[in-house]
Amino acid sequence: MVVGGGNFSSESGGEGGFAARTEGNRPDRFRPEGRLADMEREPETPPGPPWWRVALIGRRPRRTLVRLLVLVVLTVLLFRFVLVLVRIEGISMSPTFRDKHVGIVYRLAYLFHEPQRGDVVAIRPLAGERAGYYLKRIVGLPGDSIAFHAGQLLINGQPLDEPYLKRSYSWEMEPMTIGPGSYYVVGDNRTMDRVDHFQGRASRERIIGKILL
Amino acid sequence: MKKWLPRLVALGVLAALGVWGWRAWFPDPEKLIRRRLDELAEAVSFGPRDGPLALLTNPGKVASFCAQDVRVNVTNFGYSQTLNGREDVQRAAAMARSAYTSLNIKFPDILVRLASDKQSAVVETTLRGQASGVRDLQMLELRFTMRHIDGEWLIAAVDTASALQ
Repeated sequence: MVVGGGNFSSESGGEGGFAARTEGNRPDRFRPEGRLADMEREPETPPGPPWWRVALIGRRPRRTLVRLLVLVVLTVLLFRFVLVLVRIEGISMSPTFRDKHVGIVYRLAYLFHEPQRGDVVAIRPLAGERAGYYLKRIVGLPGDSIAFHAGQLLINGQPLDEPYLKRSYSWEMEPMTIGPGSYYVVGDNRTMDRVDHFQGRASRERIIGKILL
Repeated sequence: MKKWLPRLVALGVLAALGVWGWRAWFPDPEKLIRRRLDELAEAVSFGPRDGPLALLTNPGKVASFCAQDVRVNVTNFGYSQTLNGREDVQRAAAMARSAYTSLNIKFPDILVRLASDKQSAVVETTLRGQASGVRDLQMLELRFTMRHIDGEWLIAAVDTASALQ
């Protein structure tokens, strides 16, 4: 009767049966170079992490985590205090900004200087910012007298050059003086009736920033 | 572990429960008004799948948010609407239901200014609405005057407000 180990041992050349087995539980005769080669071989390096893990979290997960946290904090700060993503709804700023255009408002634009004539600004509604903003162009500065006559915007009685307007219009509005701390804002699309176009004086504290693109 | 620690924890839990209970039984008027406006938005909104029963009952529900002598004066883009009394409001709500197949109203921002006697409040809010067949979202700034009548916050007046004068 052939019994497992004993039989195996005898076939290996009779060098002590099981004791002759290598670490891999294989007899020496199956190895091409034997024990000498074992001694000469350089120690094996431990296997590295799988490629997908390296691709996902890098070779140093702790460092990756710190980087990720810094990135998240910076992004939150950036989009909370510096930039606001806006999607334009409606045609009142057409053709400069068309319906569904996505733009970026820069909140710090007026940190060191006051809004200028011609700036397109985001205006915060009375109750808060979650509902959205009004996006309008500043045409009148504090103290200005503003009027519309025969399709022309008059500032202190003088016509204002408005290269951003692509179509003529025919609005009429009596001269109105803008008080201190207020700006007159209006859209670029003046082809509609004046009463259908949302415009007016916005106080300085409601202007949250200037549109970048 | 110190002997006083479990007692301290128990005391903290009791205090938290007390505060929670107090707020649940005696809610802050501002919170009540916000909740009331959220409920109003829900009542005004309707979808295309609303059944005929909802069609009949919801205008009445909308009117129940208003005081008997409610006054609504809303001007938007040259269009002006004035309503006087609950019946007018109910009629307008029913008309809106017949004019559109769906309407979705929300008040994302609510700013409450409570009177010193806590019996009335002025609420500024921005209405965002989307009606079927109207491509653009509508945004309208409103000022509600609310009164505390018989334990309920009811709308006494609604006017258009605007960040642009």
